[in-house]
Amino acid sequence: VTLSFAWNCLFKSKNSSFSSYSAIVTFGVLLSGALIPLEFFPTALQYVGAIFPAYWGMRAINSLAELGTFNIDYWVGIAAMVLFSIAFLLYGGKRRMI
Amino acid sequence: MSDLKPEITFNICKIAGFALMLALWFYDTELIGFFLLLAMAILSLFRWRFPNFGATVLIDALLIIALSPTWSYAQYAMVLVLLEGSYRRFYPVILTGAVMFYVLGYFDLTFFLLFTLAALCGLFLGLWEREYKQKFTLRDNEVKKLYQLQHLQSDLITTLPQVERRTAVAERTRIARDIHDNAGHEVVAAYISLQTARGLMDGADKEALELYDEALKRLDNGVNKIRETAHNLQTVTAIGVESLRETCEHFPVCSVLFRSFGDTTFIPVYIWHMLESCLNESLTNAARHAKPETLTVEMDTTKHLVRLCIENDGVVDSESATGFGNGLRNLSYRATAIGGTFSVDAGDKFRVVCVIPLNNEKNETA
Repeated sequence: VTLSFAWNCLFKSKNSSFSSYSAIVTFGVLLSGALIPLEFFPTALQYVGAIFPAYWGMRAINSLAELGTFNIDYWVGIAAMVLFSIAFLLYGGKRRMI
Repeated sequence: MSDLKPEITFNICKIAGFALMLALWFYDTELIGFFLLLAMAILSLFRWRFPNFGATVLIDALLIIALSPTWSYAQYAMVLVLLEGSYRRFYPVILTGAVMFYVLGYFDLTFFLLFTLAALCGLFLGLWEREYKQKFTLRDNEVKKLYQLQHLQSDLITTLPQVERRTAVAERTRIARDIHDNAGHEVVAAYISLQTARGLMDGADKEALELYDEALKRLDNGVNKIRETAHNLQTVTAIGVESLRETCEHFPVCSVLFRSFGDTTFIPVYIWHMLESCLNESLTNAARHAKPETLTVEMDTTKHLVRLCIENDGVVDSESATGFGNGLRNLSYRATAIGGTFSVDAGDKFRVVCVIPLNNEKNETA
């Protein structure tokens, strides 16, 4: 939600915002390992997804699935997503769509 | 590139710096490194959103110093801190660069050059921005002055025909008064004398008497026409002090006490117009910004000056108290242009005082 909030502030028209948003989300999800496990990626690409919140979401889910408890890796993923949300809110809060 | 602004340049530098730091993180994917960058990004966005909190760069610096033993590339992030600290004129942060060397445990020339370069870049960007803002402030002030002058000009353009009309009306009134008071009275006096003389002419020639009576009749007609003309020349609308009194009497918001002292007959038309504008503006302002119960208008006329004081006991709102609006400012300009003064006092009561000197011929000859 906060990502879309910040993303919409980058564009002046809704159409260009929506069309590019789907592309960036797909790209982020792909690099997060949700569609293809990160182990299949080249080493250089395994950490590129970290700049997207989806990567940290998947990290939290994977750790929870593997260990079955709320472990440190899970909370790290959640903390990263919270920090991303704060950053996106700060950015989106200044500019508004015309 | 002419549209490149200092703030945008600074943001580009910061984004490029974060991109480089992210590239470094890919070399050493220590988790704490990513969180450090994320925290720094949040703090940067916070300062971008709230520019008054420039001192928060210290938090960045402390985070870097605390985490540099854990993440091998953390000290490079100090470049961003020094850049932003210098840009936002929070110079104590430069000291954190020195602390960084202490944490590193040795003096590194590469880091020293990087830190110095970053601080200088931030300093120059900050100076550029200040200059840019000063120019904008200057431009805004000039635009404000231009706007005020345009307003004054339009006000004067509106005023000019009114003054012309009032001058014509005043001249008509003067002519009517002269005809009635001087020429009219003389002719009537002559007519009465001739009528009296008619009684002494009973024994005169009959033909001469007929001619005399005919002349008297024509003179009577002339007197009637003079009276009628003088009456028609008189204006229906009130002028001078009567105009001010009429304005006060018709003020709908509250009762207005109008008092006039001194002889107002020799006040020129353009001053009357100024006084009327002053009264109208003050009454309008009182109706809009205050809730007066009573308004007092006093006009003092002496040989050398005329003083109009409008006072209301209403609530003085912040807009009135802070200074002149366009209307009052224009009145001030106009009063100054004719050698007078115009002042506003927003104390317990809101008071507008206009003093205009009188330099008419009557005074000069007196």
